[in-house]
Amino acid sequence: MPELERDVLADAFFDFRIKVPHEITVPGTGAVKRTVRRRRTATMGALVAVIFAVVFGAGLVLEGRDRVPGVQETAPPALTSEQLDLMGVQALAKLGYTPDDSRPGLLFGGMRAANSSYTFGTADEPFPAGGYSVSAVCVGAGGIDVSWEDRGQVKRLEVRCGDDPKGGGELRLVSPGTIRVWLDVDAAAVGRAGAAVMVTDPRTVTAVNALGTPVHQVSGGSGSFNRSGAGRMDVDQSGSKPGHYTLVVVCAGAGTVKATITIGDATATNSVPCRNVPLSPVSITLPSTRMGLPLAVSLEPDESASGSAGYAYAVTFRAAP
Amino acid sequence: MPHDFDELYAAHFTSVATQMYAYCGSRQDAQDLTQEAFCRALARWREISRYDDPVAWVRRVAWNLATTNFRRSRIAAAFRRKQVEIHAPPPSPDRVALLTALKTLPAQQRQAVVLHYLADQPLADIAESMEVPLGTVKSWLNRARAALALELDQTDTALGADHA
Repeated sequence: MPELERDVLADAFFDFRIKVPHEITVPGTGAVKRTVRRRRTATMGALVAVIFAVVFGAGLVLEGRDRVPGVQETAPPALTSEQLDLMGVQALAKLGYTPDDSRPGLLFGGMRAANSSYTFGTADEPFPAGGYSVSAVCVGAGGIDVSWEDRGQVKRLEVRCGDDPKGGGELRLVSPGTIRVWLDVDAAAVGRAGAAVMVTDPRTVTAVNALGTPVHQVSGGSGSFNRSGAGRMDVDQSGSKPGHYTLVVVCAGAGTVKATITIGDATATNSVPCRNVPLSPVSITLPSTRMGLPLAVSLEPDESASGSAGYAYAVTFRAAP
Repeated sequence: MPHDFDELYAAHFTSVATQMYAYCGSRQDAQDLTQEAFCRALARWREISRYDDPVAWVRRVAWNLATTNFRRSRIAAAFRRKQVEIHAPPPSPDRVALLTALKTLPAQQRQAVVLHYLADQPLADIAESMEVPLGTVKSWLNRARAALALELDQTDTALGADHA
């Protein structure tokens, strides 16, 4: 009597549905925001702890093998959800980003399932037409296989967890659209690895190519500005040396970027126009007279550049004679 | 058009927490799981706000948390430390019977039942969200209905005997 049984259940749930919502305590979005803010602040500190734990753990395994030769190796236990999330953040850091400065075209997280897929861009906000580069990195155990479709042909990158980021993947959108990426995670990596995938948009590729590799480069980066209007800020705490630091910036697309280099209390700023062709690098030089000052670079897009520009920058250094 | 986090939270926290309550049998745990799922959503809101149905993502994260050891984690403990004790009326015998009967179901059958009877999800949507064929969902629900009807009937009989 399935219908009769269904009615019994519907009645049972009717009481639950009516009364329970009045008993639920809603902590509120203020509590959510405080929690997320606190976790973001703590993430980088925790990341250092995870890296230490991985290195220390590897040492223990090697020591054990030396002491007990011939013992069969067993798979490490699966990580907790929080540990997997941190592995994803760690992989993202290998691509030069943190969760806070993440941008369109970046995907990161713990490897919880053997197969998954992700679509970059939406029908409302498609990725622009042009040539894209794909790179990926994995942290932890095992390996992943990243694949995507390029004009009807499936292409892939095989990434071993623990290796340096693997680049060189390419695809071309002949018209604005979405990009779907599939992740196939091997058994050793499921529950034990984090990964990050970056699909670099054509404007960023153009800017990177126009910048090239300046001589005496000490740091640099590239990416695209999203529609939120957020810029990019990189701080090098390793300390300046006496000499001249030069920030070189190229921007491809539309709008203008305000580029600033700061060493200690000294600051120099210039506007960088974002164009399609030809692209011309803009340089800003700032002298440093003291040792050990923090060096910061910030790129702030104007409204036109937000969501419509890709950039590349490099910092070069020449020692004082 | 990206969704607004505050609006989504206000509109759906209670319903997701109610579903989690039916699933895990504890109102306090249900609130913690739901709050944690919304925290994770806000951390990736730029991406999740563009989904057609961000609540489905939140609900799924809450289910995943419920089946992992989240309830024993230090995050859950921190939530509990911050909570103000709410004096709610004791659950009715009918609710205790329902929660007890639900606990006898395998986890996936219980999830399908909750999604169907509390989240009002069509079978096809349940199949999609649980990543199983439609026929599997139908089979789970049939088995769950039979088992729950039997459990509730036995509880009624026992209650009747107690009251007699």
